[in-house]
Amino acid sequence: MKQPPRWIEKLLRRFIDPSLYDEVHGDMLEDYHYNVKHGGITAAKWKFILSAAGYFRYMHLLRFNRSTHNSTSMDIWKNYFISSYRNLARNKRYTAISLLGLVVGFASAIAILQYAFYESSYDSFHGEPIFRLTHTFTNNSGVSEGASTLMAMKEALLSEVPEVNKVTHFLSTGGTVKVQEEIYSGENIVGAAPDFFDVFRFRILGGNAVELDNPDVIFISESTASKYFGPEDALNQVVEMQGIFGQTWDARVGGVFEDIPMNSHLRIDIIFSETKILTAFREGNFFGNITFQEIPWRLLGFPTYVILEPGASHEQVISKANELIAINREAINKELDQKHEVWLQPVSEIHTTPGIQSEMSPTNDRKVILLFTFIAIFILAIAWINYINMATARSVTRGKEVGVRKVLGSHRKQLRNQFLLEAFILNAFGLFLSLLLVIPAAPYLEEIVGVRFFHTMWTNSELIIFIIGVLFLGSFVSGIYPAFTLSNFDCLEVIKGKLKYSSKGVILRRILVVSQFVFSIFLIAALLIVQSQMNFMLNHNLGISIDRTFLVSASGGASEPDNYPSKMRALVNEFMEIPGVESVSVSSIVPGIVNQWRNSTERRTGEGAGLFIHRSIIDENFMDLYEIDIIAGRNVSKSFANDGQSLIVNETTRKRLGYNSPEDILNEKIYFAGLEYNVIGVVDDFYQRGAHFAYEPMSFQLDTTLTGGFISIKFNTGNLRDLLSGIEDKFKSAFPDAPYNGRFLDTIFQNQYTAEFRFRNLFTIFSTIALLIACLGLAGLSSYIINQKMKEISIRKVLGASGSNLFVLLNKEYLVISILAFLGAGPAIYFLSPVWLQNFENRINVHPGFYIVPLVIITSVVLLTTISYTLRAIHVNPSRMLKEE
Amino acid sequence: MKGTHLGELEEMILLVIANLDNNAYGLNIRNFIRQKCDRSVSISTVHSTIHRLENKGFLRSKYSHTNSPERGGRPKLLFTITSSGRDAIKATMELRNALWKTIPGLSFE
Repeated sequence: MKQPPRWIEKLLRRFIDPSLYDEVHGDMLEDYHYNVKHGGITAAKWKFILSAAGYFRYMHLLRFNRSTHNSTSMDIWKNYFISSYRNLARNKRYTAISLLGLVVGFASAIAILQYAFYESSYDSFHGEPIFRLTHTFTNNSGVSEGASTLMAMKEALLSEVPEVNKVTHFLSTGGTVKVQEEIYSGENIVGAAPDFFDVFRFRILGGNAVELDNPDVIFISESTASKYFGPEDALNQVVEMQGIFGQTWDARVGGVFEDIPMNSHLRIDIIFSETKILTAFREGNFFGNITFQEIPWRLLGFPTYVILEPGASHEQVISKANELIAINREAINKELDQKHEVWLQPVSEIHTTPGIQSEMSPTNDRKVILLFTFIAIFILAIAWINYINMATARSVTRGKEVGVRKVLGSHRKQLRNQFLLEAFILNAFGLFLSLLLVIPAAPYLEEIVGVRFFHTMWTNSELIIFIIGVLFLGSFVSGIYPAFTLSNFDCLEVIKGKLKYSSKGVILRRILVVSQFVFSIFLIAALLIVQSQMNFMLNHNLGISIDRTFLVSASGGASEPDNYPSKMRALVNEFMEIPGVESVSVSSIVPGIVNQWRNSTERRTGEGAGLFIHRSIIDENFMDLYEIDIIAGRNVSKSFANDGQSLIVNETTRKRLGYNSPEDILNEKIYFAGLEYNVIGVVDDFYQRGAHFAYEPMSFQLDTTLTGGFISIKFNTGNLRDLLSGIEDKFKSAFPDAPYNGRFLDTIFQNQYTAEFRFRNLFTIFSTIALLIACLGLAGLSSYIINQKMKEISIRKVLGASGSNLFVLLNKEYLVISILAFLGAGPAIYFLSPVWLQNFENRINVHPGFYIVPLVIITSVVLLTTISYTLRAIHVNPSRMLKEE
Repeated sequence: MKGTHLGELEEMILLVIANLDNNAYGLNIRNFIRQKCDRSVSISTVHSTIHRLENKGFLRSKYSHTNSPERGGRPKLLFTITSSGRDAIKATMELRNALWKTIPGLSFE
């Protein structure tokens, strides 16, 4: 006969009260066999499972309930609770110190780990593994990696590499959008084909992806839709796209897609049809003498993403792709002496891999995330160490309680449970309070970090599991040592008062204190290094003057190329009339902004061919305004008839091109994209992007047409309000259709260091927290130890010890500990500081001061925290201490 | 346990057990309720209720070792009503009757 499911029977046997099991099991079997006969075996099995499940509704039928009816174990637990509570309440000071440490520790750990989880959650939601073709470019000035690859890769992969299942690419173009009368700039606009939505499965809320083949259709994100049209339906609305490859057209909203999550490396608000780009390339003359057919294998700038066939070998795909590039670019690569390769980068790793150029969103180094995770662990460890130290230090008092309990018949196991429970109560309470602390602190932290990372906290199952894990681990780690040592006390000795403190406890405590010191010294040193590096960078001589400079962005004449120069000239003259304006310059780029315009040189003879040089178009005032030193030759000038073909280079270019002195390069010829330029001047190097980057090879040429996109205004007035409103008014009356965008140049430079500032602030906050908790614990511990030693101190005093003797006696331990900790922290500083510092081109030396100062700081902090207790102990009247017995 | 108060299901099960006369065990009681009272209860509910009644002292139980292969060799636990159980259903019935009688404007033959 068919039997019911065995596992259900086992489950029942395990959980049903044994005295009921026979009856229940018998009845269920009988029912089952009846059901088999009358309804078939499957139905019977299901019924069997369901009725078994029914028993779990009735607690009194289950086994574990019975056991609590009679036994004393419940009362014992109740007693543990009460005595734990009383113990914690009696020693308010020590409880408060331990608790404060735990609360701050948990709160920091939760915040940091949520941050770490969030940062590593980037692009993990795509479902299918998506890879980006990340581009490696090699030439004689080195190797660089870029987020985008050749335009031709998509088609080539689709037709030549069968392992590739889906491919998409897009091109970020910039441009502005005019909706009704409003102009929006700064949107993330890309051109793509419908296959974008095949690879990235962002939900389309209205419209059909196929429509993206239609050149006049755009897709916009949900939030962009509500920004443009409010509550109205965005579908089929018409907007004007402006300034994309010199084109302006009326575009129809063909679809709305869900906002791309913030934890994606993609930043896209508007997608227009890629066909528009092709038309522009076919008709416009953007690439000089390069024909339309040549463009795809020459044009970089397309981030390209693939989904592979299941089981496809990555190596094969990569080698096939590189072969395609090598074949199709053979002639070009040879001519320019370059090499282009791609590799497959999982999208989920993009955010944590720094050093790849032109990413859509800022990356965050995996190492930084790891560092903060370590700090979180440090902080927690320090808090737990505080608890353990306090608990062992209190063991003398607790010992008496243990002795009495043992005499009254407590088992060792019960005592252990009690101490573990005590640790658990404190940890759980600390965790609860820390959640209350994290919630109001969250917005401030998000502001400091610059990322909204808390909103996923309550749905982040990893974090919740982690929090629960930390609670139990913490209770165990912090409770286990006190539990075992205290429960092992010999009750007779304890009660007789022989036990002072076990030497074991002292050794452990010393080890723990030493490790706290190691953390602390390391953190102080790291803080010093971070701070001095930041100061060094901020005060580094940029080689240019950036103060008192205001910057206005102009369109560069994309929408009205004909009368733009004359309008611009008029505007410059008007700016000059504003009181307080010293000089005005129009240029294609200004310091502080990454210069994307580079061309490789074709120096027809000798070395240096194929060197990438940044190009800037400037006017005559540029060098003066930015106080750039011309060390050889002359400035560009309109008075020389052919200065359009003249070039000023910087020192780095001169050196890279192999000229020994600035004078040597004067009047030499440099070729860019087929045109010949005559070098008329050499300027000193300056930092285009801030001092954490190296000097770059640069060139400057005279702007004969005034199409530059940036107007720099040097001023010498304190009346900023009039100045700024004057600038804005004049700009708006000159270009009523263009968006006004004015900023101070030093702010732009500050923004270069945003990531570093955030890192510094976060690091400062959390290492300060760690240090404070460590000091707090130390203060509590030393006060307790000194209290215990009061009698000893008094006897020594009676026998003639001087105050300084006693001071040394009480504090020499900490000096030894400091030295020991220094030996531990030193190597860590030595090996870890270069890891962070190597991100900076101009960095400080880690000189001995960075080792000695933390040691001095930590030692003096320790002495300061203990000194008040020490002094009190020294000054107490010995008779008061000694007459007690 | 608390008082002699009977729940609705408890009352029904006591009555069913009285009806079944010496052959009242879990499954049998459930089947009787299903057939005669046209009401679907699960076996676990029945077990839960009869053990609650037993704890209240309204039922007495004894094992009956019938060698039935369908029950996998497990004995039946047969229930009979104790005298206090009888009192309890009687009291419930009388209380109801009393309440019915005092409803104003209604009379019963």
